[in-house]
Amino acid sequence: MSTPSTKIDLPILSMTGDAKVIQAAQSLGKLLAETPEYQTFLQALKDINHDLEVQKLSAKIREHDNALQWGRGDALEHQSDMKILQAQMESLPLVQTYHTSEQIFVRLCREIDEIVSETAGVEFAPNARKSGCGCGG
Amino acid sequence: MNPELLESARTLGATLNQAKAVQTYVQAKTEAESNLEAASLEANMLEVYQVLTTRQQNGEQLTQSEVQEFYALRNQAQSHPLIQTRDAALAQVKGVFAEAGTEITNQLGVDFTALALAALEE
Repeated sequence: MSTPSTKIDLPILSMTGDAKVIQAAQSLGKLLAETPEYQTFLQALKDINHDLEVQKLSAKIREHDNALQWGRGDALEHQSDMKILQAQMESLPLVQTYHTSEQIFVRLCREIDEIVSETAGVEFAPNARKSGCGCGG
Repeated sequence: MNPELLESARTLGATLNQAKAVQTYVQAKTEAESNLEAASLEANMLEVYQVLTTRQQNGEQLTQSEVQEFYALRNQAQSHPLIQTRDAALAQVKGVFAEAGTEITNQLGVDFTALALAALEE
């Protein structure tokens, strides 16, 4: 009696198209993370997250926001106070540094997106954006 | 931009360009654009859309029949086989692109796609 040959599914050893895409995207992400623009942005982000004044102002803004959402107190007063607190926050040197570094990094991301899109022949970022509504749009 | 980063962006672009989903989409897009019926259906729909949105932005209230007429035009365009094929191909492209975007985001810890689009929306 002959034994039926067992078919073994071997993993595909050659890299598929999608695997190449993932590898190329990972490489780009790693290089982007090493840029001074990203490092400065990251540091600025850490700085504002660890700053006591920013934390204090953020907490106060959240309090007003919660009150607004739950309909507590005078809505106009909450909005006015929030506006003042947000202006105070924006005037902090650390926050200004953060915004500047963010804009610089955003510009770099945009340049990269333009290059990827041009080479791919299809716009990258608008098509890579995940739809938040799950409606397929 | 440093040359290594530039090269890496080009490599990702070229790799995406060679992906089956992108090749299929580009072909489907060309076919839809070069078909007179499909192209005119879509051009007509876009023209009506632009007129209606401009009027809306100017504070004008659109009538129910105008809106219904637009939906009918859109359905007509979207049910054209070549446009359906192109849109289905684009959905596949979005899947591949989203994966690539996620990989970049994972390396950064911040949403690359959102940042790239934030600049575009300035």
